[in-house]
Amino acid sequence: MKPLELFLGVLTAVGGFVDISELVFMSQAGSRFQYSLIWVIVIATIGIMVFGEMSGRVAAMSRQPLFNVIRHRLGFSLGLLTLVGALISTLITCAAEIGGVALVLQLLSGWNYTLLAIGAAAVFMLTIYLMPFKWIERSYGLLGLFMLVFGAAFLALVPSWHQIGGGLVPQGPPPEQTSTRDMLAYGYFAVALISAIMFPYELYFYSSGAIEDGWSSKDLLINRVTTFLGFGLGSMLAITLVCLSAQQFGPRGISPEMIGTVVLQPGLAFGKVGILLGLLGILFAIGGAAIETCLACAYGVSQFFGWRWGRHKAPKEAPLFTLAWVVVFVLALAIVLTGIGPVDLAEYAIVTSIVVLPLSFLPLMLVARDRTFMRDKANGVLANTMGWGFYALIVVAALAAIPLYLLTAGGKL
Amino acid sequence: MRTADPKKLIKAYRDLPIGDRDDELCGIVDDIEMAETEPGIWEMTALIVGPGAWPRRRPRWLTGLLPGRRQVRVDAADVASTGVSVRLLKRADELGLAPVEHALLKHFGTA
Repeated sequence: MKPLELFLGVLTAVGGFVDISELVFMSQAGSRFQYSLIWVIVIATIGIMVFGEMSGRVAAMSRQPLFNVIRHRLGFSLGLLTLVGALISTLITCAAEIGGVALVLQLLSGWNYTLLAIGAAAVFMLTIYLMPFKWIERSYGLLGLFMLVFGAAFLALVPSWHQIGGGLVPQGPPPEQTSTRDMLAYGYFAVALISAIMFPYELYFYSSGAIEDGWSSKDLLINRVTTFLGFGLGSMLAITLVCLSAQQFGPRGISPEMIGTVVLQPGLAFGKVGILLGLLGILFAIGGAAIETCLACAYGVSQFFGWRWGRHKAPKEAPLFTLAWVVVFVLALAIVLTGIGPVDLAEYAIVTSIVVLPLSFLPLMLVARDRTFMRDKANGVLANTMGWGFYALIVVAALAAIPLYLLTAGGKL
Repeated sequence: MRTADPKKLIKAYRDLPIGDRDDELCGIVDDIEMAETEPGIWEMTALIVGPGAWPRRRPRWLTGLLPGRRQVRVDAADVASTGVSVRLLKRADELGLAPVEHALLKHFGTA
């Protein structure tokens, strides 16, 4: 394994970690509940590391992507239900990302939002059509590293390390926010953060990407390093969003419900340059997520029905897969053009995604521990214990998601 | 594959991706046909591929609502192996599998 390959893989994972849902929910969580939800982010990050590593390992060892595993283990009907749920949540997420990109471009240029959304979708389609898989992944992931300006702003604005350290300890909302309304909103944000970090599309994309890249048992180290180090560093970047918001917005009573507000954070530290770099970081991070979500839908439907799939093939060599990602972009754009804002779309995506999570992760757990498929690379005691522990957590979060969303009006009460 | 337990046959084939002689994906095993070739011994006799097989799956109130009635029967003699996927001995178009995909491939000149 080449060290440069490993280094670029980790950087790509870091740059690609944050998408519009994380951007919105991290900032809102920090503003409303200060540092008290950091422990939830840490736990959810360990969860996505565990399941991410498992999905990469299953793909490398069995050469089967996640939706083949889902269909084989859950059967046709439950698998179809999972596919439909995954397509709905991932399509809404894709629309949120396209809308987010259009908003950032509007902030940069002042041009018409609708035209920018259409233009962005066209650029993404051309990107998928023209670029090889590795370059799609790398270019957006690496350019997403402009997001590091949020980390730099976090350090420049003299963080309160004591309070951040306190946030790592499992706890409830801050002492002055213990009304029933606050407790429910705290629960909603906890579930939303788990969902934002453990989005199922990330695993559909990651496991399909492992097969696109031709992973085998020789690539298990790069899988482990990418998931643990890449996702871990990406999560630290996400935590800086919470901390910046807690430090800068919470005390001023600002609830960052727009991307334009979130990007003020690096602006407070570095002025116009900070805002510009922040906007570029957001642009490429959520632009990459738009492509990932679109491809994740196309991967899912192609794998479920046994069509030829993958960007390692020319678009004409996998015609139904190509048609699938084009249709996904057109539908996502149509959702954006209805006028629903990207932040609202991100909220709907969060709630629908967490409901799909248990169905997506159960077959993965079953295969990863199966020695007939995985041979000596099957889950050990630690991976099994952690996997089932996190599985129980996401089942509880999935059961709580819709009631909490309705009771708190999406965390706005 | 011969077994005393028909459930083992179902687990070994059903819902697995199918690769043809050239290793190209050409569908998923939607159902199988089995026969008791000797007393107490079951064998897979054919793979059934296509939406026409979906109403045979449970729950029937749901699968019966799904569109499409086309199905292809792949004889057991055309199956090379099974594992994490099913491998065939012939090309997909020879067996009539993935007809829409092959029509598009022909249209684009990439078949």
